[in-house]
Amino acid sequence: MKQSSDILLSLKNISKSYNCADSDLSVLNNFSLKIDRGEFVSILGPSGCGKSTLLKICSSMIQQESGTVKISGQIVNSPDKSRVLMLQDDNQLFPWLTVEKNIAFPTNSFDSIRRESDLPNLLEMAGLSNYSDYYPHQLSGGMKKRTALARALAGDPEILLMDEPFGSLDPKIKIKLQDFLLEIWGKYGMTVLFVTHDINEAIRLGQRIIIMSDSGDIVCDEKKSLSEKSTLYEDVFFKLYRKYYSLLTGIGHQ
Amino acid sequence: MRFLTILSISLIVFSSCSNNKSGDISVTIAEQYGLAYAPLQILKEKKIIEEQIPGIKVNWVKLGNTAAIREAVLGGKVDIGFMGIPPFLIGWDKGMDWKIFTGLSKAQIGLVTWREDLKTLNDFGPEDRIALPQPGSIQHILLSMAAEKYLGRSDIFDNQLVTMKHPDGMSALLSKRDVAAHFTSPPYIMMELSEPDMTLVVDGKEAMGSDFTFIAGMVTDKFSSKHSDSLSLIKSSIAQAGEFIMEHPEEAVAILKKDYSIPEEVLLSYLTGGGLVYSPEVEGLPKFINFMKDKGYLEKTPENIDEIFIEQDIK
Amino acid sequence: MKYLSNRILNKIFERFMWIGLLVLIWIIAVLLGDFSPLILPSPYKVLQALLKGFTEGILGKQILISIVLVFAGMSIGTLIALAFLFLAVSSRMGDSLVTTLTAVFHPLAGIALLPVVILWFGTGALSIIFIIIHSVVWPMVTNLLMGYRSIPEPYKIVGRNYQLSSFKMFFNITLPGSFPYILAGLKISWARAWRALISAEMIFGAVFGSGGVGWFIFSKRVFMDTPGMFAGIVVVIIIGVLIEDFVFGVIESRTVRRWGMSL
Repeated sequence: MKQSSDILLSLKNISKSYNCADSDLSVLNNFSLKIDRGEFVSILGPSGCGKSTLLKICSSMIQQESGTVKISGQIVNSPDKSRVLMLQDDNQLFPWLTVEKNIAFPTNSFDSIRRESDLPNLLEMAGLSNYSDYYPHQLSGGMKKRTALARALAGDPEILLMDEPFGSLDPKIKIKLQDFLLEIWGKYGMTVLFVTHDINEAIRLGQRIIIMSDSGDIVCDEKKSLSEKSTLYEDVFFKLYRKYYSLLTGIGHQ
Repeated sequence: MRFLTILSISLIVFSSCSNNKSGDISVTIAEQYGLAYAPLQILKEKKIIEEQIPGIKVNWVKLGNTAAIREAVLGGKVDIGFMGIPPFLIGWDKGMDWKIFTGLSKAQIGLVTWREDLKTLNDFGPEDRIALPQPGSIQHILLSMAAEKYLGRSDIFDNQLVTMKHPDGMSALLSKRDVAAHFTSPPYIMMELSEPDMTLVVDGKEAMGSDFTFIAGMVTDKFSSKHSDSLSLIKSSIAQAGEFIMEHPEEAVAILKKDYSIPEEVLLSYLTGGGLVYSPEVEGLPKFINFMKDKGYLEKTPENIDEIFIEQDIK
Repeated sequence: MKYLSNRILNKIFERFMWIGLLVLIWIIAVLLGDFSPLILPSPYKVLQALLKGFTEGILGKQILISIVLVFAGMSIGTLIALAFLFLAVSSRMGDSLVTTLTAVFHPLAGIALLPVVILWFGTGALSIIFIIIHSVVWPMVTNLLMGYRSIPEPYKIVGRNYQLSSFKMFFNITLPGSFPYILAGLKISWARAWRALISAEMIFGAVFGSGGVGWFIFSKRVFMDTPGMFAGIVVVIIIGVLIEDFVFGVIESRTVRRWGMSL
């Protein structure tokens, strides 16, 4: 058991519904969750289960109807730089800024902990040193994602809230980016909440895996019982995959 | 603008032009707005030209300003036009083949102001805007003559002119805003002077130093050389219509009233008040030529009056 | 960079080619058609008249006056359009007011307002600027609103994530994010303002003593100086093309084209 001082993010009794076609559609109902500092958590779930809503509430981009969001024990109500939300959308980079200026955006926006001097490191880490003067529309899909990740890191966030960030990429690039994400997580040690509907991705990335049901309840929440080096082709990995698959599809067919 | 004008006129006139082959004469006459054109109204209503010249087809067009008439003449769409002498001279100077063949009217035209402080031209400052139909118009040339006479500089007001049609100029004047004075002609000059506070600063006769023809008739050389008999008949028709107005003003008013939204008795007073004289005589031509040549509005002067004027006996 | 300047050079070349062709047709028409020079003067005569306008006349000053008037009108018009934008995005009633005003006034040609403008503002520079503002504000508001509404949600989320003040949000995200629409609005506004200005000048006469290019054309017309009139029209065309190709062309290639944000 972790001690309470290690809990970074804590959600308690969160409820949220959307008004849709004259009836309230409840997406989260009395939802509670605790995330430890430095954890990498994968969240799996069928579409419409409230994963994206959950991340938006975690980042305070939208307000829950009831319940509380706490960061290090403090209730938070408005977005701040310590909780960076990354969307699936390809448009999250500003097209009017170069790669370098996009990455520097958080540090220019307010007096950040990270200084300009960190920029070359971020660029290099993202493998974008030679592309610092390029505009986003000149980049490949993978480069765009790395730029977005580097920008997210520039503000030195405590927690990254990632909503299917690699959803639209082809599998090869996706794996490279996953490795890249794991690498910077190892380096910076920030907390990551990673929403995906790709079971492979969830298993490869997450230390802890949470599966949500259609109705937004947690049906599975466990530490990954695999060594870091496990690959897709090992039996243990495949067993886990099948377990999560049946949990997910079972949910889907209820 | 100009092409549109030509286009619209050509549309109006097209049908008549194609009638020519039968041997009948067709004439297109362009006029403008104002009481100085009243004899043309009589000609039109009483079909005097048609009576005088059997088989003639007369087309009337009314255009907004003299530049438009000149452009229509130039485009070959108009045979006879009515305007002040100065714009005619400018056209002739630039190479238009046309001549004056008749006078139409003499009129009191002048500069009207609403401002008490503007008693003479001397009182006008550079910010006091003067509305008139357009530079190069008879109103502008007479204003320049007055400026030359009283201030020694003919172009002194040229940078404070506002180009406005007479009705617009009148409403700008009567609204007593930034238009200080309006150089205008009948019936606007009479209407303006009948309003309170309006005074006449200078009039055309004073500027010119003599009587002058306000509106004259111009004919293209092409038409006059081909139809010289008809032209003199047209001229006598115009004289006849003018005489009719002068001698039977009540009957004339009955015909004219529908074209001017002026009460009958007021219209009658304008026609009989002495401010308007309809006459085929042409007066003041040399004075206009000399002044305009002198001030650079014309590059050349006619060596012989025949170059710009067709002398014809009224039949 | 090289690519961009090549683009502009290409554009210049093509422009010259087509304009050259038009002038050629003009010359052929003058040579073959038996036109009076009062109806169609030769390009040479027009060129002479143009030079005369600069050397003997005050065409240079008149061009300057026209450009200053357009610039003043466009600046004020754009500011008013921005104020309308704030009004429209700040409340639902504001939005319905602004969209109604736009629907009412946008189709109204500036020249149609002239009689009223003369009554209210007289016949000076103020009236001309008023007509320019009228022709600028409505297309500008329409484009600003479209631009504002087209800003992708993720941009705003990033801005909120870093707690930008509304001032920074406006200048760092709203403005560049809707820039393609702003630029389109400016281009439409410019074309409308320039046309309105020339027409208004031809009606109002001299403003600031000497008037602008429109007045130059009109005064050539009334004195039947046809080559001069053509010269004035040529000036209007040249200024139009210069602003369109160079001012807007350069802004476009340095912004929306470089950013890959062309509409």
